[in-house]
Amino acid sequence: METVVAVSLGTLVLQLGLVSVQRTRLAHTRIVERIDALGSFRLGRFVPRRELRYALAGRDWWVDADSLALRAFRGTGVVCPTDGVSSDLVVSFRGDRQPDPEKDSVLLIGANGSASVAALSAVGTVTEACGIGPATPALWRLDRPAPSQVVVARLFERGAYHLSGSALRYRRGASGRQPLTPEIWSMPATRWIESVERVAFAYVPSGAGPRRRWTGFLAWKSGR
Amino acid sequence: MDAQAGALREEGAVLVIVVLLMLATLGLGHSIFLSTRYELLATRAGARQLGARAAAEAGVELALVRGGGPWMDSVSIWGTGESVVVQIGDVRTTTLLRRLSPESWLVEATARHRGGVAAMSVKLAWVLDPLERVAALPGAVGIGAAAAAADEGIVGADRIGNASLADDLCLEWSEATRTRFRTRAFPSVHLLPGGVLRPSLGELDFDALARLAETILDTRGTPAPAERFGECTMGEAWNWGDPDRRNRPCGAYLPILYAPGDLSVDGGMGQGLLLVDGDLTLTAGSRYYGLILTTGALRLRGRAALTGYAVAVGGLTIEQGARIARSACWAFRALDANRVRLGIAIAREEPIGPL
Repeated sequence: METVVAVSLGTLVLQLGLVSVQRTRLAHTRIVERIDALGSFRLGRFVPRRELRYALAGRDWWVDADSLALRAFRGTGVVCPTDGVSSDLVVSFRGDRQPDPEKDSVLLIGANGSASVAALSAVGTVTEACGIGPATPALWRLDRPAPSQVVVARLFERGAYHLSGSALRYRRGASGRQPLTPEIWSMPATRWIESVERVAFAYVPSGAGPRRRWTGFLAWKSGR
Repeated sequence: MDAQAGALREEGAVLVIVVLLMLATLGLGHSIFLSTRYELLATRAGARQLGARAAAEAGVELALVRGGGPWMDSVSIWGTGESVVVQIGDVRTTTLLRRLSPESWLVEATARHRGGVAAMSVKLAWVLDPLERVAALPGAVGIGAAAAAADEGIVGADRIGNASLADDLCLEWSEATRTRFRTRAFPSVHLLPGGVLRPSLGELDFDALARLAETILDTRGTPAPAERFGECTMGEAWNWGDPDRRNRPCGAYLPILYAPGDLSVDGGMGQGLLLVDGDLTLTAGSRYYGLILTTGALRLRGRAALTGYAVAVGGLTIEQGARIARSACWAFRALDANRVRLGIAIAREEPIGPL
């Protein structure tokens, strides 16, 4: 009798324990999946959002359902005043990274709002510049003379974001597409949505139904 | 004895299994706790970053909406205006305007959250500078290419002379032009670039200027100064200031006026910036001082007079007895008197970053 009770109780406790472990593991798996989904959504939304924040639609970026081609700005050089037209600019530079003539170009903004593009040929150092705060003074050599009255030179690389292979990928220039997120997106439900006024990011994790679709604002198209 | 020992071993095995299961559950539970905590931290950091970003962008927007003012003149190129600090909750925002050229300004706002997160927002803005705008005009009256091609495009241009500046009215203009003295010829009439259908002032187009007007005009009227209880009644449709009596209350009133269609001014006098979306006819001895922008033709009849500058896309007609006295000073005064109103009109915003 005692053995039967002991075995029954033992089995019950074992059963309860196994169920607890299973439920906890399931909960853990779901939470990890949820965290991955949230993390990838964050990346998928905020990385392009940050890029587009500094750019103007039509001039600096163009969007399709699964690709976003853009001038990816990496820094800003405020141009020190000079006399005449020259292909050398002395700038006060701040940015995410240092300029690289191998891959960078420069968008030149004039005092009258004009914008023109030049390739960055070389970068040099200067002892003195019209420094702003913690900015780095630098000499930028362009492949052509800069227009007169340029006030700001914006450093950028050409790139494109793609929604492919269930992930967000970035391609710089003509190089390959590098994944930025885990491959957990449902395609083609995950895509960029373009309207007259704005661009949004619609995101559906793989295996999720349409009710799990999240949509986030990316950028205005009307330059507001 | 063996059976009892076996039962004991079985009870011990259950205990060990239960303890192991509890440990596994505890481990998974701890893992869930860590994951959740990580997500919470990431979310909190994201919220702080978002708050700082929003505060920085609000700082820039606030500066753009508030616009400039006379103080902007005193800022040299590469100089900065006074920083504005706003503390909202845990976020402290500092906004600064930096002058890059006479009309280009870098609007910078830095927001710092007490938790250590910081964000920066910068825009390149264009703010009208009266001196720069007037100096940029290549002639006293600008007319459209289509009007010039027509026979009636420029009629009576020989009746454009120089204004006499007898007193200190144009002292500021004279001082300003010392450093930017024009050496090139300054024609009475100049052709606007091809394709210009509506006049503008730099980056401020005609529609933006019209939105800034404080008075909308009917099709016909006679302007005269209007005072009440010793004060100029500003905003009254046909009170266009008092150019003859500068010491009177309306002497310093140079309003921005806008007519959405053709406008005929019969006599009277006025001063300021006059915008007409159509043809403007000054007649019956009407006198106007300042700057006129019309999308149509400008006609001066019957001893009417303009002292200042004009842009008339539809052409210019000056009949016998009427005259234009070109005066950069009056054009400057028309813009300078409305510096605050014009200064808040940020015509172009270029997002700048990352910094």
